[in-house]
Amino acid sequence: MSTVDLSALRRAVAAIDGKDSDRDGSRRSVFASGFAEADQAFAGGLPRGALHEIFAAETGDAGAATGFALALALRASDGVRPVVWLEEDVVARESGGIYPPGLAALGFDPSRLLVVRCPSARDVLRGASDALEVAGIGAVMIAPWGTPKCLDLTVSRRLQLAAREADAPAFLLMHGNSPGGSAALTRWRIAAAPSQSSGARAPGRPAFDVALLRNRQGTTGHWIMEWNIDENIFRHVEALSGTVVPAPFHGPAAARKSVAQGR
Amino acid sequence: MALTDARALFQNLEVATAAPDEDARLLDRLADWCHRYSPLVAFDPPHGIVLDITGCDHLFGGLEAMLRDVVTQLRKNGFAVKAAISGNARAARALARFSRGGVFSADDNDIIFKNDNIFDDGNDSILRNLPLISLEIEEMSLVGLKRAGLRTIGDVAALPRAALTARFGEAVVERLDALFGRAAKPVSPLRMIPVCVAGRRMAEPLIVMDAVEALLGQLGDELFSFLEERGEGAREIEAAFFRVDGLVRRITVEAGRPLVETAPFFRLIRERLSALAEPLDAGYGFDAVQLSALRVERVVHRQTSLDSRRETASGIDALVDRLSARMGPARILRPLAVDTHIPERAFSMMPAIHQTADAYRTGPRHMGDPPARPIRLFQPPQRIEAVAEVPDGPPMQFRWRRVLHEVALAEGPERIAPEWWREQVQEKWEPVFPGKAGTAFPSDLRKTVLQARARDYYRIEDDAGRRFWIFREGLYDRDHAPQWFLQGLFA
Repeated sequence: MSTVDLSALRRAVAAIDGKDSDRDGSRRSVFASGFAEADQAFAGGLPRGALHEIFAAETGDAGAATGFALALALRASDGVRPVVWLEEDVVARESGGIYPPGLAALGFDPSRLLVVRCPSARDVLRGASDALEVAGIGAVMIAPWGTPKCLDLTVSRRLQLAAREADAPAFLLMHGNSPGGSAALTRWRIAAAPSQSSGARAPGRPAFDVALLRNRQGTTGHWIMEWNIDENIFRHVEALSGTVVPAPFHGPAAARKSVAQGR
Repeated sequence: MALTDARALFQNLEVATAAPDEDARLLDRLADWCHRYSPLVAFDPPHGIVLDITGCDHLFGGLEAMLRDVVTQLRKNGFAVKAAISGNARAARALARFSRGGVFSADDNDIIFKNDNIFDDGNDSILRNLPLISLEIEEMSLVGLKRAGLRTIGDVAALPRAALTARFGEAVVERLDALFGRAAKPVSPLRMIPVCVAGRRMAEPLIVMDAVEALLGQLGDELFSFLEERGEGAREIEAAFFRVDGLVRRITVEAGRPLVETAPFFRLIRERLSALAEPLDAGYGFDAVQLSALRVERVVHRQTSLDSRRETASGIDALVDRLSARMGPARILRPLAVDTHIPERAFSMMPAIHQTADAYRTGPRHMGDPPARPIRLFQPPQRIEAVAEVPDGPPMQFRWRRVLHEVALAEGPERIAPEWWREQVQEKWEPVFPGKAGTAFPSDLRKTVLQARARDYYRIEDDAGRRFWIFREGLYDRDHAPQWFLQGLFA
């Protein structure tokens, strides 16, 4: 009872409700990250139908950049819409392949996922514009390797327009290199940030060193964000409230804590 | 006869080296070419091809016209051909090889390929007059029959079966039965038999691709109207392009849900045509084009739903079909959970065209726990050098890709033992002592199996905040240190 997965429950409830944000034509064109300062930089929330560029500060930050993009995708879509993830083959070799159990561990339901392994960056970009044509798509992840030549201003402009048309976010995940000029609405540089240990020197929730370098609709900024898996929201990195009990891996301590919260 | 003897007898003898491989290749191409006449084409060794033309002859203006077409087309291409049409494959073979060839049958087209005794009404005289050799039985029996004064098939067929079987064994009687259509021996076709085919033969070959595409559209309309009558849609459609010079190019498109209209099929085949590594070359033109539905599925027509989610699902299906046609089905994937603890096997990627989006089962998670599995996984794991506390402490520092990482936070070990019931298959062929070549006895191999080691996994955070998934394979012992690997990156 106590080891219930809240985000999974929410997904289930959303599926039963048929809670489509665009059902009665009242399209929400923005979504909130939950991190107040970041949302203020956009005057209310991040634009949904837009191309967002996310790149890893260093090669070793590939995991953090991927996690941040996934978290934004989770915030932007309602939890049931499909997500298309296009990735060039080189990326899996250099930074590791997408790992569905790990996506699930971050609160993402892998059954929403369609993975497209592309032989070249050109295929990634072509597939991305095809994916953005699907009505009601949740999000599109675009992961070419490095800064491909074919990703020029025209192509990124086309993707940006397609994303706006689809009212779905497209995340351009850049691996291995810093990007050049583009028509993307935002550009984020992501590095891993030290996490708040969950006790006994164990690494805690995912924390990101987020630099919003470019924002066509507002101001830029630099924050340390933490992804709260249980509530599916970005938060400040905070010291845990209450006594921190060294929790065994599958032990009852965490369970007890959640029971206490329930009351 | 030796070649020298033959040369002595006939001075201007032309000699060519036998090339069985090339002969086979040519026969292969010919068989491919023959698919324009019937979808049931099979080899009839040696050097023969047999076609089951049941129900096909009217498309070519009757049996005689069809046979004449086959023979003239092949002769035009420089082949010496003998051909015959008969009530069964064996009789056709004997007649083609041991008579002048032609159409041998009763007058009524309908009964032509029934394996009834259609030869009993006197039409089988030619078959009966064929020489004994056309029985194609073994030499001993043949000599025996000849010694008995028998000359033709008719002579043998007149003998009592029991006597024949007693003297020459089953083979002779079986062959006779096959010849006279008393025992049905089906033709086993080279290619999958399509459910239905729409084809067009052109008097004037098509060269311009636009014309070819227009024809594909027409054929698609025909094919889908056939399928609609049957209440079916196509999951797999093959387009065959028959070039004037005999080359046949086949292009297959697959769809995740049954296709019922030309327009989506047309998009797929265009996608496929433009993505071909070796583009469709019309050469001197195509003189026949066929569309065959290879795999079909029953279609239940649904009212178009007002639910936007179903619309999205069909949009995704269309995207899957389209990308699969472009890049191949093996690149468009859906994850499936696999029930195992071995991290790299805990999921499998299935081609989305064959796999609907099913629920992905995940284990329960404790509130507040950080993710226990990384977001990116290296396959295979990457070797690292690590300094760790003996015997089972987490690493204190490690070097990955020449960069030294100081460990700030660590959790573990989480021990994942090898699956003994599967590991055997994996490591069977790895010799234990690679230095001693040729000593890979079965005992050595089994040793390898037993050595499959447990892994101790650690979640690590370095001083910059990067989170890694690292494991140690095996334990420290007196002789050697275990190896460390980095398998994943956490968010």
